[in-house]
Amino acid sequence: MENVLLRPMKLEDQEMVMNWRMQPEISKYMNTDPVLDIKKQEEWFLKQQKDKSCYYWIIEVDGIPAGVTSITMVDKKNGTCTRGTYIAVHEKRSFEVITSIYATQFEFVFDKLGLNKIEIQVFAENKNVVFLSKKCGFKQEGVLREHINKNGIYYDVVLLGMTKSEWEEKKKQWNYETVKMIIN
Amino acid sequence: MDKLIEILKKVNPRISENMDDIVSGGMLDSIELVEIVSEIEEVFEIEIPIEDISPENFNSVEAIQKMIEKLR
Repeated sequence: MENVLLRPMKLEDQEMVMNWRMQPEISKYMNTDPVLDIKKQEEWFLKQQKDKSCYYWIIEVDGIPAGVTSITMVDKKNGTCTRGTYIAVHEKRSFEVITSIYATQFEFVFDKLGLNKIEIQVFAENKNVVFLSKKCGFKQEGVLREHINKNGIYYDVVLLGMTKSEWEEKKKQWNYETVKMIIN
Repeated sequence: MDKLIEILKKVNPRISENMDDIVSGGMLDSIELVEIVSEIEEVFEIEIPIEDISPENFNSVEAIQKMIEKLR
């Protein structure tokens, strides 16, 4: 497998992240199609840095920054969080890279943060990501019908979740690889 | 075999029957591979566990066919 590193996002990454985030291929399945400028982007980053309920990493594949992954909305009381990932550099999107990032985050969420559940929301029409998430152990909990309005069109969103006990079961059957993750 | 080739070509028309590095040669990204897995599961009525989604099992038409037979 490629050499993958998850390193904390830095202020200097923001121009690159902003450009990735505005790519139609990336924003297509996100809740918004933002028009960003570097000032707004840096403001967003500085706000996130102060927020103790979220973690953002740059995904580096063979030393090349390729995308972003996150654990956000960490709720210690209820033991929940959400995750998100995109790889903007097309040639770095291998199945092994993606699934090893999933597994690394599961270990981080359940073993390091001690949370009980991880959730994701995926546009229903993004069928391949719904399918992949289920392969990695997520279970579908429901569909939020016409949940997101983008440019006048309402989109259904699939809600998926995995509990700590489900991960404990999943990892018995899955000979997964993890990647190096640096935590601030 | 024909059904399998049809699935592969539908997802990526550049795939040919005699290739032996479909995944390791970078022919498919993760989403294309997932699409192929999903189609195979539906058409052949099998479930492919995540640990079987590996370059070894998906690098050639023959390897995919073998895996399908094993899971049937």
